[in-house]
Amino acid sequence: MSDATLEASAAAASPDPRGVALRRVAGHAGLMTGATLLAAIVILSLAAPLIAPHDPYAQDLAKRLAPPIWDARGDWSHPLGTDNLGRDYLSRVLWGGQISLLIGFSVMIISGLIGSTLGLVAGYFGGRIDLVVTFIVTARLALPVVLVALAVVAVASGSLLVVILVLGLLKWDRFAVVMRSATQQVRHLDYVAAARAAGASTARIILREVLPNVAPQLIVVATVEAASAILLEAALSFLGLGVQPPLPSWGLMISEAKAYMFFSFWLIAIPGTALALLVLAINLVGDGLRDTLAPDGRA
Amino acid sequence: MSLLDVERLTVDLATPQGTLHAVRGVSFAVDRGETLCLVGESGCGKSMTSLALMDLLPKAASRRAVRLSFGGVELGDLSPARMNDLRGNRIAMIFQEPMTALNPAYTIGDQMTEGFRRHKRVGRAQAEARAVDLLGRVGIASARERLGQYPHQLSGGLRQRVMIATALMCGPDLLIADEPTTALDVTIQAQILRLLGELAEEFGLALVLITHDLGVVARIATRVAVMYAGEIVETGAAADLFAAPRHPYTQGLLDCIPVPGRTPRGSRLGAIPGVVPSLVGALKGCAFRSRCRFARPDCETDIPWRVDARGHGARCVLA
Amino acid sequence: MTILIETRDVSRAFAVGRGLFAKKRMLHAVNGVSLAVREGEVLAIVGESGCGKSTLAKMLLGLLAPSAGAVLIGGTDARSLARVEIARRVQPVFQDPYSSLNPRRRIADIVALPLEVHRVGASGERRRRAVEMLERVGLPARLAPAYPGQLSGGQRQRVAIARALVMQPEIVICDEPTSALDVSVQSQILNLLMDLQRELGTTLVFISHNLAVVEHIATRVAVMYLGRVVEEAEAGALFGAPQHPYTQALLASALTPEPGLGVPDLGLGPAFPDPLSPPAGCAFHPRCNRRFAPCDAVEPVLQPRAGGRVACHLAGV
Repeated sequence: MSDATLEASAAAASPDPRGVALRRVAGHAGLMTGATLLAAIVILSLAAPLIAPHDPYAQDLAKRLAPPIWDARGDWSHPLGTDNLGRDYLSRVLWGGQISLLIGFSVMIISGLIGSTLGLVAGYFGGRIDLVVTFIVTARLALPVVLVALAVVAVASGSLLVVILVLGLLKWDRFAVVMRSATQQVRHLDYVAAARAAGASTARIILREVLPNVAPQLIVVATVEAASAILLEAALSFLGLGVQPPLPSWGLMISEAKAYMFFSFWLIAIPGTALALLVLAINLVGDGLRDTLAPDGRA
Repeated sequence: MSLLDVERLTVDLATPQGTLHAVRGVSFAVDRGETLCLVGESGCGKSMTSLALMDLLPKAASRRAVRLSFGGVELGDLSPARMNDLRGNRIAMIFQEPMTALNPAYTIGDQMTEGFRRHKRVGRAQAEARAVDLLGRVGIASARERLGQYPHQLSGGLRQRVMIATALMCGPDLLIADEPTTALDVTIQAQILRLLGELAEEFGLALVLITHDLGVVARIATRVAVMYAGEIVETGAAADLFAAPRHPYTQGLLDCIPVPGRTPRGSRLGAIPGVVPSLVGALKGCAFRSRCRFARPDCETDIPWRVDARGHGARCVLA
Repeated sequence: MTILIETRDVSRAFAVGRGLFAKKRMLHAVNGVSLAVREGEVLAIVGESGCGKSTLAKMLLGLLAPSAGAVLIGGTDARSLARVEIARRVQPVFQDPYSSLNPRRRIADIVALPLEVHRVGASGERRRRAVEMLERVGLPARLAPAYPGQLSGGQRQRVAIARALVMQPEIVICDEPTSALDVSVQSQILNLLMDLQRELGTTLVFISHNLAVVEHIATRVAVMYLGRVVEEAEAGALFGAPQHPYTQALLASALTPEPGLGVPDLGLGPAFPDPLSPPAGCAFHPRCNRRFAPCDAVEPVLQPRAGGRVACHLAGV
């Protein structure tokens, strides 16, 4: 096979695609901004037990509604001031971050597992299975999340666990829809046929041949869904349907502060800003990943 | 002067890696009644050349030429509006994939008559009469009914016939066909090529055919230009070029193709080792030298174009 | 010669829906095909798009079940064989080397996949065999850890061939293995297939629309038109004296680089038939320039003629 090696030896060894992907990630300004911001929020929240200056539940009624440090009347004992019960606001915001992250992460995992399993199965097998899954997705889309949450909380009373379960069991639709169409595209490619012709089992083909190639879309949906779960939790807590006092959820903090909106604006502005920054960070990361992980396809 | 006269046409593409020289100083001329085939493998710049002629290059590309004259008019000097008047009117183009080149939302009749009515400022009835006439000419039966049909209702071969009829609507002087039969089956390909040849003769067209298929070239070209890495490496009358190819790349390509009756069955076919060099950045000397079995030191210098008395030229130190 | 794989009157129909409530129509992609693949031969299946050659290939590979008839592998009905058993005997090489390799797996893992599925050896042993196979198809071992995106089209097709051969199957089914490649790469892949066929004694089923290539490499040829085999013969006989008018047209339309010959007039009608409503009688009759009385009413059967088989009323005259 003399001439066989000729063509082969010539090209070759263009850079490793993983190295290329890493360099693309590093060169993406939005992604790097989002990732830095997200990392900062995660670290600050996780380190809350170490860095929070006060117990987030400790009330000091003598120092109610103390203003934050940038106000002329503020002082360093409560850098972000205190709320209407005199609890240290900085400590509550830091601990509240844990709740938001916990909700975003858990809901993403639960709904991701349900949705991508349904989507992969529907997309891979097609036919009747696809019809059934599509029907389930349509049925799920007919359920308004907030109303269901209202009903569940009325029955089971609100708690962190209930919020996670309600959102996790309801918000898998986008995973299912995106995974289904992504799988349909990959499913008809020849490397799937080649794996079948090699005798590989269906489970193996779905997990080893299909899943890695739909992972970029999965990751992008996961970020979008995590951000949306965090916002929904805040909304539910604001309405009193979510996390119950005295837990320091950002949504709940905004809700508790609404009576003082005109006198102590920071009570709303601080958790609101924290929430906006977290969601912005996650969405920047999601957008960035969409740009950089875009399936290499034929290129 | 020829109908289309191109001298030192250059197309540069801006890419993140730097400037990609897709077409590097290509010169050729075509006259009425002639068929010029631009032939080469993927990435050789043949399609970029055709898009440059039509001024349909992508945004990232820029075109330069010493001369780009069509019917005595310098195309480089024309305003976009004047170019629009020429395009689809006196210069027509047909593409490889007739399904994507036809808009699925409009009927065949709409698409065939639109350009004609705009360029010639005539009414619908007159335009449709010409469309029916041309559809009949390209071998489509019950042409009147076809006008009301949508592209998806036609087979690939019929769609390409519709594309050809559409291109002929305004009575162009020059027809550029970019891989017009590549997506078609072999029996349909033969029919379409025959049709193109007949029409070119009947309407006195200058035909520029872009293809990768040397078989197609041999059968319909009057003149051939072989392109490699953005350059024309050999050009000549079809008979001369196929009888005695002078550039090692042309020779290599011909050796790769089994010819029944000539190539012994089951024998090893010729091969061209290596791959096309990157066209990003400056290139000097013969671009084919890294794959050429006759390469020698002076291949790295600028190689002059050598032409014999019959107009058979090659860019090679051996020629 | 031993028959390795055989189709007995196989058909495959697909339901083609037209809108939500429209009645589904049946597309008969393959219609009563009986073909035998014999040990050591290169059987070419030729025909134009929509003739059913790729559907037939999928059935030979066990990727698609026939809707009627049977595929026999080594004399056993493929339906009663396990997927891994079929895989051991028959392997594919597909047309598009860009979609036939998983972009997220390394070259060595792609080639080792069949070994892994069949639990051959430990992972080190599998890797060694994969690299050996890569070298055999002309790829340097240093490409083993690369990803498909780093390879050229020709190199990818070599990887696909290595994957097909790594389990040493009896038959490799190549579905248009060179039509997505440039001419200069195409000849290298053809050389490689011919070398491997000779050295390993692998039987090849070579599906193509390129008659010049088929004539160069095949030992026997079956011509398909609209789901049926219309002619089958030894390559020499078929190219020397084609019997069916469609085969004759196909041969004439192969454009070789010989200037001066011009483009032949095939004398065929332009209308390609709608496979959803194939014409009555001989499926080729609307395009045939030699049709006569029985052609539009009676379907010709494949019958022995001049050492091969042909399905044409002219053959009986």
